[in-house]
Amino acid sequence: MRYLAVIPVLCAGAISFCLTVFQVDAETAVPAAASPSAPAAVGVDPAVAEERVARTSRRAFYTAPPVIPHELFPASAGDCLTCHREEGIYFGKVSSKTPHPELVNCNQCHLPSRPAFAEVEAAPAPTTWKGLESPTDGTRAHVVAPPTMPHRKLLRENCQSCHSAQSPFASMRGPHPERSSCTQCHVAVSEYEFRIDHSALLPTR
Amino acid sequence: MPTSRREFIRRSAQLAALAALGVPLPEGASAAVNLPDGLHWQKAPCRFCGTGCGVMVGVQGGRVVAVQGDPDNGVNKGLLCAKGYHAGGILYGKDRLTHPLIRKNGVYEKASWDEAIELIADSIMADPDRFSIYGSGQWTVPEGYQNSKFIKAGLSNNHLEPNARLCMASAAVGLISTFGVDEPSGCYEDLDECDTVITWGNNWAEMHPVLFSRFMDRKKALPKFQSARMTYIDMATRKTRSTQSADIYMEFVPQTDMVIANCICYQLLKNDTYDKDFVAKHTRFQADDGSEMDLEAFRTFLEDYTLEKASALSGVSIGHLKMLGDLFGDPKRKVVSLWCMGLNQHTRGTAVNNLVYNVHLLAGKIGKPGSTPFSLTGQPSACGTAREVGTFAHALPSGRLVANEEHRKECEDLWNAVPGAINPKPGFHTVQMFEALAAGELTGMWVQVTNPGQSMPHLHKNLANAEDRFLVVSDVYPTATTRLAKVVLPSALWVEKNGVFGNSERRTQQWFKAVDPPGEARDDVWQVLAVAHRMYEKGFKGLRDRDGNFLLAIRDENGQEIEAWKWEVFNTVNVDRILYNEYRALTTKKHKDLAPYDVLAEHHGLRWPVVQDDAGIWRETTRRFVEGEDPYVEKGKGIQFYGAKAGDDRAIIWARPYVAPPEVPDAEYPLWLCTGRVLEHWHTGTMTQRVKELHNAMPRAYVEFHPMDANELGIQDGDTIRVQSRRGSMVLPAWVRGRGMPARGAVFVPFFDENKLINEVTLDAFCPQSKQPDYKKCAVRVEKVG
Amino acid sequence: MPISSLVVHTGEEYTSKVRDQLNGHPVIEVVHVSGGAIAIVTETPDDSVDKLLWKQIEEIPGVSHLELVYHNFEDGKEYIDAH
Repeated sequence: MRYLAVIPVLCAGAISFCLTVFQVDAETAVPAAASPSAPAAVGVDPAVAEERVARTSRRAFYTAPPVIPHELFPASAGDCLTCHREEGIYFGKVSSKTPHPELVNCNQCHLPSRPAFAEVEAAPAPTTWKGLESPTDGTRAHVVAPPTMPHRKLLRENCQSCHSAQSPFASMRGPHPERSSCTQCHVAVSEYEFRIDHSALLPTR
Repeated sequence: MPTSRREFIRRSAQLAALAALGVPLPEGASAAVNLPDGLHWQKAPCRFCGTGCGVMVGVQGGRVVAVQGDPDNGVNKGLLCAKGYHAGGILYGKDRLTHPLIRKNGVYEKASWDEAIELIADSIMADPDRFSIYGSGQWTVPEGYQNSKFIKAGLSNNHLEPNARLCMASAAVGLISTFGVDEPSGCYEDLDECDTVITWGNNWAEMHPVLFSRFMDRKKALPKFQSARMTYIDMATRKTRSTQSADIYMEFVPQTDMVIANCICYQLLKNDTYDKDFVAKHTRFQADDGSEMDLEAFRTFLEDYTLEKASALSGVSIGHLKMLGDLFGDPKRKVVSLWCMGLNQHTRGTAVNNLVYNVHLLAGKIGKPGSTPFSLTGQPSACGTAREVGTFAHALPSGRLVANEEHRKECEDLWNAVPGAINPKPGFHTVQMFEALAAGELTGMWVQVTNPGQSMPHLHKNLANAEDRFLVVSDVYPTATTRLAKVVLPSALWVEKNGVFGNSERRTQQWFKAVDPPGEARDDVWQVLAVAHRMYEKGFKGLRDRDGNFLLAIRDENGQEIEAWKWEVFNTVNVDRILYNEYRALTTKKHKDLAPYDVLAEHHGLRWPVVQDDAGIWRETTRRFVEGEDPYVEKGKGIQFYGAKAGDDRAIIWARPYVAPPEVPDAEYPLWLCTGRVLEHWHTGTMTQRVKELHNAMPRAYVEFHPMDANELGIQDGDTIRVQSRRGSMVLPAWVRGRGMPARGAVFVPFFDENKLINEVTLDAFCPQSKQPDYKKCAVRVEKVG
Repeated sequence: MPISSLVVHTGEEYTSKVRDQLNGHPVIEVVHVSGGAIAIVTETPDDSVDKLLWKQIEEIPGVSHLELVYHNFEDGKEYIDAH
């Protein structure tokens, strides 16, 4: 069934549309047209929950750059691209395609997940830090609307990097891999794009 | 509610169109089904290095829960490094200090703020001439400014220093001696325009990663034939992650960076490839002692730095030296030179900074897009606070000096201080200050936002007896310094308070408090204000202004005093805004004009001089001294070094001879020791070691060897090694094929680990002009102890 | 029965004129005007009419470009009527 979709015209407007954001007020937001459509299965399915735990353990908070889940570590800028420029299978594992192949200093942001020195592996985390949790799904304007992106677009412009049909995380795989223009229907959410009016904060501390 | 499917679709179409226009949707029009509850984002500069990246801090339920790059900030355009992304975690270490502590009979006991303030006020008043404040380039601008007022006009002893003395002093004195005014004239955009980058002893892939990738991403994106023309040359004494991406690595003997720079100048003159027009119009020459010199005399001076002589001294091949000479001699090349601690922590730090400027001035590679010598900064506000506010023993705000009568008067007038309140005699500089504390010439010290118990060189000498003095330490975690303190005050950290930082490229950035500090932790600004007011209440004369009122009074726009020394009042007022706007009045003298606070609040950083144009818009300055970019350059001048002390608009090319380092390896201590940082940790690691991901990636310090040295010494990865110098020793595990590779005959140790204080070993010899010590070279021997 | 919404971008000096023209069109509803941007909703019998209509709008003097933000392309009138 083809139904509601939001598509940009192929013109200059397309780009500005992609950047258009919904001004959502989290406190007053109530679905007007339909009830929320969070797929109840997400977050309940034990397999999905397990995956979420695995993914959470790889980063300090939702949207943080993930740590490197394998032993290999790059020698020089751009080395990671040997495996991560395109999706592939190496050493029996799926290597995700980087969404930002133009950024070559990978270990600037992506840390090794294993300690540099084995004897301190058991060192406890000396912190009470609690990072932002993953939302279960993107928001929807109404029941049949395509979900919005529940994360920021910057550095994650290529959806296929994480949502390809080969993703090791089943819950991350896009349900319609034949479609290639994701942002045509799935728009970003202002809360994650951080265009906030700071001047409103001025009068008080 | 829509009544039919058709109307529902129409309604959806309307809302989508409204949203596209950015019109706020009618209440209830959209659904925030799964958005994190109450998450909001605020801008701030990153807490760590001097790059000054903009971050967006995600706050939820009164806690920081996420940090992302700020896409609207011109420094980083949305990108960060591992430290930046994890900056939120530094607030939540389990051992945050949450109560004032006072050491009684060798035991730290919880105390009330009132008791602590009373004790500090009484102790300062008992010996005000011998009390000092030691802070850092992590002071916010208002914190540094208020401390300056307190020490310079309140206690009148000038014993105020930032740890930037250990970090940026040579850079500052280098700039002042060459250009007459401090701080780089270039900007980060030069990295987008240049075709050549030369790092002088700088591992920017780890220490300034956002700038490194800004250049490297551009280079790697080009097709091969173009990318080959973009050259990155790494001159260093140790192979690092930066080296791994370099086109050419030139390893030099420690300290001979001076020789290399002089050799480039030699070639420019010898090959007649220097920029004659530029040199004639914009420069003049001076000998090492400051006397005038002409081009011919300078040429003669350079005869000591021929290719052969320079190669023999530095260990760099003639071919490589020639390549440097040719690069600078090529008028088409756009060259950016970068350096940080390699040149600054140097016993001839000022001179070697001058030498890099010489090279760029002779080659005319300055003030043009893509060509600039650029001194990088290690701390978030080393420029904004330490250098601009002038929290040094000899300085007053915005390039003023305590020794200058006019400068003192300007400050006294603005502060309404009693005439003569500011002492013309400079206070102790950092190393002297700690020596004086050890010797009892200083009886008290208040340490804020820094950790000298770990970061001072030659620790057991410089921190000797600190425990017996009246040492107050304001910090956020227990550190090597709080261990020595009489009073420990818990401070608010980063976005737990308002702040203003100034980064390496003259960019001033403001942020608002986003979350409350834990427990009873309070802002440093408040702490000083409360102590000063208590002293004023007790009748301390220095804290009375001309009219007998409180010298550090915080006043509202109508001049009414606000009782901001009371915490409950402080918390309702933006004291930062008041202090900053007051300080702003002092910034125009040397054309370092800052934007008003409210303008700063609306922007993602503005680079000074920020001047209002005819249309009333505040304009920042990308490149200083350049016509069309810097509003203070006169029409038709092109380039004008208007800071020149002689008033001739000329930068000075200094004849600085090579001077050997004070300690070199010998038979007894055969190895060089270099210290430094790693990507994951920032300075003494007090913040970053509390972040799980960072701690995990780099959990402890190590001593790094060249594999061939290790082989000869019979040392393997993980062996326990004692590193011994004439001053002290430290036991560390060896890392042979680690992240970096020191030159043959050298070892490297990072200084972040408080359990492995390598500064017990380092040398505290310092640059004669800047007084900055050299942490990068001293002689050690190693032995396997397990 | 496609229903779409579009933002019509105009030079600011033409905005009111363009708005009036759009208002006069039987299948166009003007939803909001902000600066030089006019948000409209259109409802047409089928896609080919849409294309014609967009072309018409683009040719109104003062219109710089069109931006489609929402387009419902369900098949069949019955479906919509049935709901």
